[in-house]
Amino acid sequence: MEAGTGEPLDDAEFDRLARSVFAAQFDGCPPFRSFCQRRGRTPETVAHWTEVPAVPTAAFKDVELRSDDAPVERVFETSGTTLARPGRHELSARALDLYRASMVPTLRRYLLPELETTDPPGRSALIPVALAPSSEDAPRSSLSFMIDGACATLCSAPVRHLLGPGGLDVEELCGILVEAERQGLPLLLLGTSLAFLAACEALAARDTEFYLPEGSRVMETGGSKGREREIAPGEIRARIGRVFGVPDSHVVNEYGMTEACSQFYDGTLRESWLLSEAGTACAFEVGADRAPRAKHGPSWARAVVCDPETLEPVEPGKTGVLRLVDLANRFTISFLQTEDLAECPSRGARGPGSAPFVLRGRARGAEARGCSLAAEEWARATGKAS
Amino acid sequence: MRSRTHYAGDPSAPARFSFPQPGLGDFDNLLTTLASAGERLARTPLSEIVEALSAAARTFAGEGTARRQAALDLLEAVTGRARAMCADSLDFLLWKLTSEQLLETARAATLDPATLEGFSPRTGSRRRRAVGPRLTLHVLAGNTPWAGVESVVAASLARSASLVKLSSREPVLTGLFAQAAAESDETLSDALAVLHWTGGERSLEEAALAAADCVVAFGDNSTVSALGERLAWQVAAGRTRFVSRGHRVSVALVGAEALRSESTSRATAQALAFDFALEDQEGCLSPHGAYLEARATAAEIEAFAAHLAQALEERERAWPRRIPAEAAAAAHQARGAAELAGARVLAPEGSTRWTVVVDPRPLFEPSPQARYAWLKPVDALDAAIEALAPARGLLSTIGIAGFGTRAAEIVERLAALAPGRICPLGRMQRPAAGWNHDGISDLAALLSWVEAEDL
Repeated sequence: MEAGTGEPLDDAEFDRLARSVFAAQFDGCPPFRSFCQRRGRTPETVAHWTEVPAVPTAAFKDVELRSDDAPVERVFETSGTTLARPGRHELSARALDLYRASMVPTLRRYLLPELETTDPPGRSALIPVALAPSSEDAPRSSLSFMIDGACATLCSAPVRHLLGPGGLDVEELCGILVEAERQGLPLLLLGTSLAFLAACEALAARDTEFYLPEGSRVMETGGSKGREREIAPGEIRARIGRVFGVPDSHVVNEYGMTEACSQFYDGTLRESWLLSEAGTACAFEVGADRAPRAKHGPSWARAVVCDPETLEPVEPGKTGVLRLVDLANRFTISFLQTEDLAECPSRGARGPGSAPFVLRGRARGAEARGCSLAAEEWARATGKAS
Repeated sequence: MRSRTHYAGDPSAPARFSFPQPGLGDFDNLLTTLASAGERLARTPLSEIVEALSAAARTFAGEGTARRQAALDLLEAVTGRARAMCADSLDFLLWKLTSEQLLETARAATLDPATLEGFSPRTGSRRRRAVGPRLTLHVLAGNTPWAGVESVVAASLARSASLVKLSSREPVLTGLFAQAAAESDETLSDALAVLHWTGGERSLEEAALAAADCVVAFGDNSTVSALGERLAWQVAAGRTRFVSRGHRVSVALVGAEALRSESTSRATAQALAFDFALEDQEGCLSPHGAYLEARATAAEIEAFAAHLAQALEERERAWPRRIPAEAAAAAHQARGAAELAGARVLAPEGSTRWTVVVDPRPLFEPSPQARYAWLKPVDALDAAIEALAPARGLLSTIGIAGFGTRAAEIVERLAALAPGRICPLGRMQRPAAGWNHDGISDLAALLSWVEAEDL
């Protein structure tokens, strides 16, 4: 089913695959079936994949959403939220295999594009360092699963984990960075934006900055939500770039979620690599501004920007809420309505949802609109938040 | 003095404000002036202050007057709420600022308003009187605009000078009211200062926090607690009184009698719709949802849900709703999650302008604050009270209807949850003058009592 990232699917092929996945999920998941029937959308009546109703990701906290009669092998939960019940993505063994198979090519394409020059693709000599817990320490974290799984396939060296139950191990981080500089060994650093920001603060407190060897790169994900003062994505990567000595193009933001097996990445590192392969001088200037960056995903996923009221797709240039159609979610639900605001600067070459999208967060430092306790505060106030 | 431009409201067409930006020296002078003005105000008869405040309120009352127009124009632009709604709420506020209602406010806080001006007999040989702060700092947030005005009015009744730090989100009404009050009385004019500064201007804030002997803090719980932490030593030492006004929840309870007949079902639904729709459900007095006592039959509940949907549609016509994309997105999330979990969702096609959800699960869950009304039928009231137990201490208002002769008994049982206020449906966001704001009225929260024993 996975055509490989090198083969983009045009709309007709994607439509064929998506509608067959819809039929399987309509049959295999009773709550989803009722959801679609109430809207008059069935495999018989849906003419195009854009007509399939999308399940709000919030539903994953209340209801088991699977299209699979194989037993659940692993449950991933949303973390860092302060809701009383986390969202759960429940995967069987074959669903996990699909997850692993789907996450590797996309991470390779946007973070380790040089590996694609050989066939079959080789492994990277970059040393992987995770500012995230290991999968053993955090078995419910889909991010840890993704980092550990992708690095196991794509890197020669084993992953070092610097985030444990006691927090970020700043000493070990400094040790690794010093060693990397000394030996000229480039690093692949992966983790949450929050962990990177904490690392930057810890290093700033020691008045320390690094200049990692050429080829070093960072994958950061999640943004600064949850901090007292939100920090814009451009500022986050500027800090990381400065403290670790990595060019802006090589600080790559990842957009993903517990409920989806596929991920989306900034295209700047890949673009920079393509330019340098072509002998263009300005390769490292790619992404050097603070402008919001467009996210790229695999050919088996689509990201459609929808009107916040009607949930109908909007024209390029308009901000709306993102709907994901992720065929790697074959064994759960592929048609996901998020509440993330985004905009597509241009029309996609392969039909709706095929263009890269730019995330548009809440206004920075926005005061709450009223005085009523919101969901996140409720969980904390009633002692249910972790 | 330099001034700074500030924008508030819809980013595509914001309202533009210009605020003075004092240097630290000017600000220190202001604080000193306010403190002396507070001392003079403390010797001013209460009746004079009441007259001044009600005169100020009257300048907003006349249809077509410049001040009223300005207030409504700005409120509409800045809050995004329907003009008719703003006018309705403004008029309710103005009614609470009439002389009679201001005296009622004083009575509610003290039992004997004479104690605001002098010692009064208490019991046996003990006499008591109330003393207000010299200078109250009001730190406003993106609440409903009425909260800031009520806070300043309370401080003025306590005969305290006021320094107001306006909210970035809603920097309108308290400033306009203070201007009106200043015009109506010279002593009050010296004792009121309204400014806006951003959170980053620590030196101004530190000076204000040190000078004020009372700080009233509105905002979300994180913001209010952060301020509380900064004041913790001053509070412990008795230097500063801290009044925390964080976020709260409110809820409605509907008894079976309300659903019995077509006409009571319809009337109750209309009252409830008023409560849900007002302030676009963003106020601490806005109900998140309603528990329905399910002695009612399934058919009665279904009919009630339909009446509520109808009533919310009527509210939309009277008070058209505009909300940011995030709130619409949150409404869709909540709808879908509820539907997939087995709830029945009534909603207009292709719009989040209102939502009614009949949800069999009793768990209390905050609403997305987008005129989103969950209805939870429970077998007996006990189940609702149990579901609300985690909210003990966080409940601002419980609105009730349909309990007939059982109402007094229900009120007794609800008291165990310690809500600030229990009231009939339709009035959840119309609290009386001097109302029990989350356990203590605005005025009572400012007063220190002095007792003289055997003297």
